[in-house]
Amino acid sequence: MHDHDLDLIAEYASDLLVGGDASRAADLVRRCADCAQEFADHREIRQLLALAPPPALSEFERTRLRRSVLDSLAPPAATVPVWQRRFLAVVGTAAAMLVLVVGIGVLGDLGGDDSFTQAEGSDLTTTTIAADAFVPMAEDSAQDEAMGALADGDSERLTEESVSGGGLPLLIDVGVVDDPAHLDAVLEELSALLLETTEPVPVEEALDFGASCAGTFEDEIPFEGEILGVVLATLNGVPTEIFLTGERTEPSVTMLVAPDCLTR
Amino acid sequence: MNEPDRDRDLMARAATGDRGAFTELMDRHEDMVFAVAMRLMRDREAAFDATQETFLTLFRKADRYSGESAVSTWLYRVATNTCLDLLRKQKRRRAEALPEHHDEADPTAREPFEAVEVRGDIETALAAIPVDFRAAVVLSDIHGLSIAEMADILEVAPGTVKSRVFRGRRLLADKLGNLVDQPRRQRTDDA
Repeated sequence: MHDHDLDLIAEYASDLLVGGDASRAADLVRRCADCAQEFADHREIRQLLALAPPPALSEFERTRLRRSVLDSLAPPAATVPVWQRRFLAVVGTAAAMLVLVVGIGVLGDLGGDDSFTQAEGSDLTTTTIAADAFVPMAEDSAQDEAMGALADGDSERLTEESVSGGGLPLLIDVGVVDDPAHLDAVLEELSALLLETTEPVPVEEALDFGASCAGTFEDEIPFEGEILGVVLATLNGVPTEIFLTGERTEPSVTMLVAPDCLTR
Repeated sequence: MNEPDRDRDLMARAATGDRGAFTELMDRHEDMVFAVAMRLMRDREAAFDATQETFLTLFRKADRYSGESAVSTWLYRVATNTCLDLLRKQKRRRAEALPEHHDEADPTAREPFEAVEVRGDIETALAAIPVDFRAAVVLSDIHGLSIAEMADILEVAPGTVKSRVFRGRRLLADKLGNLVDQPRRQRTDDA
């Protein structure tokens, strides 16, 4: 058998031939033992490969992949202190937050009883954002407009836009923290807890604090114990972890947020 | 909207920096990318790194996607090339790690991964063939890509693709030896 016959048989076994070439190959397979063996080998290998189960990402790897990719996409954060890179939801109704992000997703328009203040001399800021400020991600322009108002530190009631899926009684309190050491200690403790976790919990969609503060929730975040969830976000291009914890006591979540996240 | 059109729409949005679109693209294709990477890299952590690099490339170069080929084809290309690049780097690092006064390399010696013991396992056998053939066989016989698509992805002529697939299968048949013959004999026995 010549090499070109081998390739002809291989093409035939790969279903690449039609017409006269296919007939010629079929004839070779019938008449020539080597050709028949070649044909059988190709078919066998194709079948074995087709039946091989695909390697799959574990849920942990999937979560890790998304975190690492999204973190890598963020601009370098060398000028931002570590403790400012994260913000933390430690009080109150993390459960409400989870419901909100699953059900609606993205902070866009700011309506209702909104307020924004920046603590003098503090590295962090306080704001309260009404739940009906959450709209789908498509509402970019309204979101930007709203963020513009927020960025100005405007504590006045902002223009209400139509909000699809709104109405959840959620407030986000962005608390003032002027003790980086304390924040780091809390984060370290929470991170240690996170390491013990194995079971994923569905948290999805994105929390977006505006064009310069886009944040993304992971789909499935492992957690355990008192931590209700962890949100991986990017605020002003800075990788951020949001830990949701505590009991639902009232429809609000307290967060600690670096002031840059609320300015454009 | 069909799947390819949905992918194109997501790519267009990802090109503008829309991370939601990018995340959805990841959701749709990460298993496929990881499966390709795993089969080419043969190491879970390396496959993970390749998958990560593939999606970073996807995001950074989303604006270069012309829309002519399917997003999945584009991703196959990025994933495959990323893996091949990483493997070449690994090979270079291994070469550089040799002591200054090492023995001359044995030109007849097989590549390190060819020394893997064949245990009658298609995955093991796959890991034991040269990576160019492995890539061709994986894309063809596991992921079902056409010769034309593979020529595009691997950036070689269609004839070269066919040659690699066929030679790759022959090498696999050699590696599997008994495994390929035994089922045939068993079927004959069963009959």
